[in-house]
Amino acid sequence: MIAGQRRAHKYIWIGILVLLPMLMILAVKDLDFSAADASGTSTDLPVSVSLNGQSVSIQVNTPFKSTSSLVYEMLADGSKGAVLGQLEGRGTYDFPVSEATKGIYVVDPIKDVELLKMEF
Amino acid sequence: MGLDYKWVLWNAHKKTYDRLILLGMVTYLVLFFVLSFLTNPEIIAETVIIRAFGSLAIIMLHIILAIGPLSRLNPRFLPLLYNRRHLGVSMFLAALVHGVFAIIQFHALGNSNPIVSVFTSNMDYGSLVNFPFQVLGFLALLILFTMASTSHDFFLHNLSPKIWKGLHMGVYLAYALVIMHVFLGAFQQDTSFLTVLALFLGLITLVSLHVRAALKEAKIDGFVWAKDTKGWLAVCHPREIAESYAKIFTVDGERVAIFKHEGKLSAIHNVCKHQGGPLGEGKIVDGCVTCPWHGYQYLAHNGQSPPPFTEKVKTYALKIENDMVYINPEAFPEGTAVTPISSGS
Repeated sequence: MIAGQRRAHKYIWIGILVLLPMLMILAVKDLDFSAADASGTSTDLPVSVSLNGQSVSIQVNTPFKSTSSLVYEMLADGSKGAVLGQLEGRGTYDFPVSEATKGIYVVDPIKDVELLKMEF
Repeated sequence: MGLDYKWVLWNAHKKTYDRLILLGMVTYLVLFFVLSFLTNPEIIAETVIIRAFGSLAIIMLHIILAIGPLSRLNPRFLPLLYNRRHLGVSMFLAALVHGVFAIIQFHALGNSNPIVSVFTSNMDYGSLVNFPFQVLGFLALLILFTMASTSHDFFLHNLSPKIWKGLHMGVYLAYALVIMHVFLGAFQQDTSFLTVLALFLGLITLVSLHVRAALKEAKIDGFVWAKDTKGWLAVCHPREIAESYAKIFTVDGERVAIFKHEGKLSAIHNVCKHQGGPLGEGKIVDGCVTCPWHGYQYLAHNGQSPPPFTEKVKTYALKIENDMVYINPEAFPEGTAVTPISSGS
């Protein structure tokens, strides 16, 4: 290698050493592992749901074993309203809701089984 | 070294190494399949294929990235360096199988184009932890494809060594993308702390090797030679250089090899025009300096490859005073003839 290439290699590896662990730590930090593991609560539940104004945020901690998992809004009378969306793997899902929404249902539409019912 | 291009440059050694690469890959895949089905009988073949080839490609990528610094730290690893290109292409093929099966498995059954689906199935680009990790893997695969498809000497010659080397340093970007692809995938799919731990250990090992090799190189580059009144550098005694071999010195940041051929000394730039091999670690064969990496040859007195080849390297003026070899740090243009000086031995 010529001198310039040797220098480039050195700086690239220093960059990798700094950047990759930083990205990894920031990603893990977003997951908030420590809080979840310490309390032993939030990750014990398959999902946690929170209402944030005009949207509902669903944190899937353990993926549902159903083939398909649809989210329905719960209306004031407890009946199922519109489909809000679909849950797949682990992660956070945000769906817009109306003021009439009182909760959510998670349903397996193939087996027609109610997987979760949660009121706000 | 040849005038014409062949699809694959094979010799007896390369064939042996290629057989070892193939044997290693097949052994790993068979072991992975057997262990996967033994530990999880319900697992489907497509998943095992994706995981087996993906993990194989990552392991091979780590080996490839470790070969360079290992060779600089210990010459015993040089044979691996000479055969690194074939290992790289094999690694790309393993990554390609992983990528193709993953795209078929996860993106080929919908309405949209599978490639478009890779980029649009998860649009959480604003999140770090939920970032679409498959996109990172796809981009890494594109870089590896570019490198594998231009790895042939035809491209090296036509793109120029500088551009070719720059293009192939894209492997570092591919490595960073692959690490984040696996890291985020490990959290977004089945959380595997073992995978993350292995990734982190691999990263630490690679960075340590590269930094250690860089420090060793910096030490060599930083050596200050005594100068005479005209600025020539006193580098060694003539007897320190063995007949038909060279000693390497750093002159103004660049490596120079001083060869002894038939009792006379000549100095040329240490970097081979082919792939940057260290000419000073080679020897003189049939009157020519022969690069230890791929056998490219140069005449020591003018830095030119013997006709009909056209490669040229810089040459340097030498003199001997008081039993000391002095080198003029100002190089002559590539291919300039310089009369060899008698070493007195």
